[in-house]
Amino acid sequence: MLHSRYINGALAFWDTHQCRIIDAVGGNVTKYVNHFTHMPLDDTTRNPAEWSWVSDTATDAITLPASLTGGVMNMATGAVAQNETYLQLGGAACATNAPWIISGAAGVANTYPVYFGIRCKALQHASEAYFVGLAGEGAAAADFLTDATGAIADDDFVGFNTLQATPDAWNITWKHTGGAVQAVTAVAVNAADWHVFEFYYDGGTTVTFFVDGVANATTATTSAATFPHDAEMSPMLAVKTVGGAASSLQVDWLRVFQFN
Amino acid sequence: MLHSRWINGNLAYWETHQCRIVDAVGAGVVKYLNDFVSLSLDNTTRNPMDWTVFTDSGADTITLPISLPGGVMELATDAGDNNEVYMQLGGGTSLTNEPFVIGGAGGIANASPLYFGARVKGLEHADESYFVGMAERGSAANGFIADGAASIVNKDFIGFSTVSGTPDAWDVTWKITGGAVQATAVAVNAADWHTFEFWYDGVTTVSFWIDGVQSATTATTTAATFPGAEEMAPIIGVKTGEAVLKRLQVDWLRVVQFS
Repeated sequence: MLHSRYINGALAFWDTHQCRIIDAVGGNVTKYVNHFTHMPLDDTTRNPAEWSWVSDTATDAITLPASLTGGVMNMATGAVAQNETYLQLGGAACATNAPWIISGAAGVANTYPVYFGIRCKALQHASEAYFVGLAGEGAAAADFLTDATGAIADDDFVGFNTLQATPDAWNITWKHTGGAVQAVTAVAVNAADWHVFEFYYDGGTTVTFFVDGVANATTATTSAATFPHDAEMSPMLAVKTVGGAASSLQVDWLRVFQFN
Repeated sequence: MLHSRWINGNLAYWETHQCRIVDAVGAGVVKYLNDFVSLSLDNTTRNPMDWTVFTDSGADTITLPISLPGGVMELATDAGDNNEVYMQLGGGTSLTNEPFVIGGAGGIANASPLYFGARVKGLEHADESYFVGMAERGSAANGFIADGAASIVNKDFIGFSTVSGTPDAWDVTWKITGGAVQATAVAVNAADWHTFEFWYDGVTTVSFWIDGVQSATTATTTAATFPGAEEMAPIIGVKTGEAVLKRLQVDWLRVVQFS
């Protein structure tokens, strides 16, 4: 059931829990909402036109699968070990932008709440790695997910991932460039099923994570040295096969809001 | 005047009649809204990038005409007999997806109401065929409208069409692959604007609206002729039945499903 509330003077519609922002209206709202009923693709390369796309999987790494109502995008790797496909919001092969930021300098409150939410499904869970979340601009590049392990490169990021060694487990994870990676491991079982992953920055110094609508007990403190505070970021989707089987990530919807 | 109501826990904004959904907000909403104030076109081919386009009419078959405020898109054929242009929502030259469905298995209620609406104008009414509605994946292909512009191909579809035998008449039409096509004349094609809409109630009835007035014709989703439970995407098409170019203009298109 849809509800509404005001956040920094903007009207925010929420469902399920108060931090799941479905839509928002306001002069200070910066948002990206996509149900993937369609996707602008280059007429020749068939690559997304409004995302920075990096893949070693030739054409059709990004598709809109048949017989999946509601709008679904599929990201696939090739069937060679270490094949990878990345999408980061921005513009085609150009460098990505970085529209969102969590907290101010040194992670102190910036009074700008951020919501990130995604419904996604990893179609394999044997020997591959996935990431969904926000990452620093230019993150969509070769080896954002490291060969063999699927560990995320030294970058600013916050989101959810799986690793090659534990492909059955979705983790909460974040990192500041140069800092130590943080992880709350095994917050959801990756059984090739749909999950809703979300996080909400309260505009103060706390980021709360939600897994399938339930808040996780572990929160992130933006002022910690390990948190990507004051780092401009944009939505990032990543999949890498380690074992060599073609691996796919499907995305039903993606929503990011900031209330400035 | 804008009004609102709740549909499956989602907030729906309606105008003119309760089934004309102008916008909607909710976790269960899947929507496509376009006023055609802009259109993402490939930098090289100049084809729309978020629609699958099929045409035998060369470049610039899809344009945004000048001097038409409010946002208008135009599809045009070339001036060769049986020239055709189709666009189906999806992505570039890739196969389209199928985000919308009416009814569950066998067309029984799926509790997910669906609205489709388009304001369109067929600029000619002599010997051509137009179609606006929804159809199964891959319908934007050679011969979706048969040569001679006489009929729509054997696909799952629902919407509004003209055919060359009666180019002055807009019909309500639907079909399931392999079944008999259903059609009822509902409006005069006088090269003027029409608003065509249909509303699936989430149970087993689809009602049709012509220029804001409900048609007496309804479709029952459980009927053998209805594309019940068939995944579909919006499609727009025009085919000329003579060596004269034909054009279809679209002012706005809205599809909203409430899961």
